Amino acid sequence: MKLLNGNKVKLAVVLLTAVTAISTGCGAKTTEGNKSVAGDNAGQASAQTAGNVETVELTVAGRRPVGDSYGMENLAKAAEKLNQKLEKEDSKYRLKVNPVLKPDDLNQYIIFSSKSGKAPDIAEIGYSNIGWLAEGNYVMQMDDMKNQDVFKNLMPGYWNAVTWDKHIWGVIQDTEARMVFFYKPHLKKLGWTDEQIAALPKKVENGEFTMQDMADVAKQAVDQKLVKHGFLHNTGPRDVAAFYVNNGVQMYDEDKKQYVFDKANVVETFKEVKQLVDSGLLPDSMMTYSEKDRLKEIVNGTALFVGGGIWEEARFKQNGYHNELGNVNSEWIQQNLGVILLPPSKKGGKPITMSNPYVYVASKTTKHPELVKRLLVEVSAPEYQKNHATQSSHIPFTKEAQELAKESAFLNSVSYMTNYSKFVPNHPDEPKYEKIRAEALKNVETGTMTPEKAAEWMEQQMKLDLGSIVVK
Amino acid sequence: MVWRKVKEQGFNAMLLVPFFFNQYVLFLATAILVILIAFTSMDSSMHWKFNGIVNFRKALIDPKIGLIMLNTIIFVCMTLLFKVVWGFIIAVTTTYYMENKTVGSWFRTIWLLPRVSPGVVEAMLWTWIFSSSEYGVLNSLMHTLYGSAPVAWLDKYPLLINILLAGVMGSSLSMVILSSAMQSINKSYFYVAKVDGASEWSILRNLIVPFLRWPIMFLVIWQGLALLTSYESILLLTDGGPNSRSETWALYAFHKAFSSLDFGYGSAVSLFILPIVFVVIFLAYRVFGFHKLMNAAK
Repeated sequence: MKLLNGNKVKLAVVLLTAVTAISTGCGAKTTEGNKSVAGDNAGQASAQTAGNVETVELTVAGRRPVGDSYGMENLAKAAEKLNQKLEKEDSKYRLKVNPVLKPDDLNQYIIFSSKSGKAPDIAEIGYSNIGWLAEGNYVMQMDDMKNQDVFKNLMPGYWNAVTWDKHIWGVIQDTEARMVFFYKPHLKKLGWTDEQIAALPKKVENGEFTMQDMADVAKQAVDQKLVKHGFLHNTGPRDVAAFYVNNGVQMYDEDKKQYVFDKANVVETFKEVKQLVDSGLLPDSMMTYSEKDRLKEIVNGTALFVGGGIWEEARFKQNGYHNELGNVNSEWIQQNLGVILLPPSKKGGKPITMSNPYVYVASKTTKHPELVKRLLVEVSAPEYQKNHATQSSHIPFTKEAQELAKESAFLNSVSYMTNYSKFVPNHPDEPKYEKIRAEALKNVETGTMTPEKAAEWMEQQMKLDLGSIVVK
Repeated sequence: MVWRKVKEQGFNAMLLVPFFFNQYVLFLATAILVILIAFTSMDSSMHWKFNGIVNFRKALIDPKIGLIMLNTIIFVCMTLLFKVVWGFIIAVTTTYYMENKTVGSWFRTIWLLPRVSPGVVEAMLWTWIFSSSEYGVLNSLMHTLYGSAPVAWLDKYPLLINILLAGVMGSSLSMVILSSAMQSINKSYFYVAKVDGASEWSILRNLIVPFLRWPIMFLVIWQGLALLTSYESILLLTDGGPNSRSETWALYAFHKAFSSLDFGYGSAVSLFILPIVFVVIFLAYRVFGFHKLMNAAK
């Protein structure tokens, strides 16, 4: 007692009481917080019991809003259908889907919510995230999904998109193609006939119309002041991968499971892009161009060739990009806009399209793994694929659904593009690599670095961020 | 009787509990975690794989680090200069040169607006002002006045515009502190100076500035350290781009941790700021006599 005088003891007692009170308060708040989180539909499946029926609330997280995706809507409808089956089976469970939209930070949301035990039961996410989701133990393995009837006629090669380390970690939600729109009225002004315009996609497919040919036509349009820009490309890290792949860049070594720095082809890629900038066809600030401005340019004919994805067609119809007409309809699009694959860099070469299929993954810690899997099978039915595909201009992933979606003339006209699909790696380090890929290209376009210097920079950055890489 | 004493003294102690909890529990735990993570290769998988000083060595050979360091020095020094000088000008103008107190207060209230409006709104407003499209405020103005073509301002002058935004947002604190300090100066000093025939310049240089020395010193150190670790406004306005031309050290740490999901490297990068903070505090204490400001009034 000599160590602590009376006042100090009292103070200590008060402090301890206060800390305890605060801790209790915190605890109470956390419990309350959990309730509210469950109420806000964020977190692990929660269940409500009424009579003999238990309603399981599944949280589904995604980054695409309605318009760009109908995945959440499909899951809700599929849950209703599954509930009817569960009722017939005398199951006590019923499902309810609670969507959570995380447009900017879905990855962080999955990581942190998983670590705090509140992972979304299902996530709708780009396939290139499969590697880190699997390695990080965030998602459930779904090898048995391959045997489900609904996936029997899945497009060839698409199981690879959800495969990591020889196991399947999700199911495909849709597929698409990235391509180039062109403004038909300007080609006519340059003297092209309707037949020549209609034959352009085939010429690209046959390797008869290359990047250089596209640049030449674009140059004519710029020189004749028909357009402000000859060519604008889409700027996402998975979009710009097209330039690399088109120039034969090998990005990844499947056997060694390592990224590859393919110097000679990387330099070729940068030279191609630099030439587009130097000839005044591509703005040097392309990588900071807003998506809306880029799409407005093709709809209003201020650019001749504009890179995009097939889903832009839905945006042209919904987002009012035309200066006078606002929203444009299918007829207008068909009449004024054409679509080609990204032309090959070399004569006789094959064109390409980068594909970034969205997938559904399920949390490893979901309390109802079997119900979640059944829901994913249900939502993969052709009618739901068609609903998402036709409304958001995506391509269904099974033959049956593609038949149903044939009613869309636009989807019909672009579905051949998936034959040329290329994919970026879905390695766990892909979030790091995709940033390097985009930034290196930006360094060239803005003139900050020469093609050779940018390649050196890229090699250095890859070694730094990705550890051991294969240098070709 | 005892309970009453506990209540009397305990109330004061309880007021301090949240502060102690924040400083000695939450802050300490966070700092320890960041230091530990800096010695791991933790990424999106969140695995604790200790890798020694790999992350620190990586930071030193990172090809971007030179530019980022230069950006940080320019950003911190220029923004600090803007904040303090602009705050000083507003404070002196509205408290000394404006005879009418109401008008002075009114002006100061206007300058408080950036402080009370949310950072996101402020950044959105600035994005609109400097938008590269022809509909951007500055571009429309330039077109109307001079017929100029649209300019991509945020691409051309990313660091400068970030300095202006952070400077305008932050000058209100300098203004409030310096205005209060100005108002506490005994008026008789000014009367005497004027009777002695001192010019306005002389009053400013030999009277006002020496009186405001300590508040200015406090503002420089306080805001300088805050700027070293601040990145929010840059994140919202240019996100460090284009080509890392507005990337500062703290923002780079954030990007590495939360954008590339490289938590180990991001933590290591953030720790490089610590020695700078300690050196600044040491210099402020020992060389610039900051301890005199912190001492009790005599």
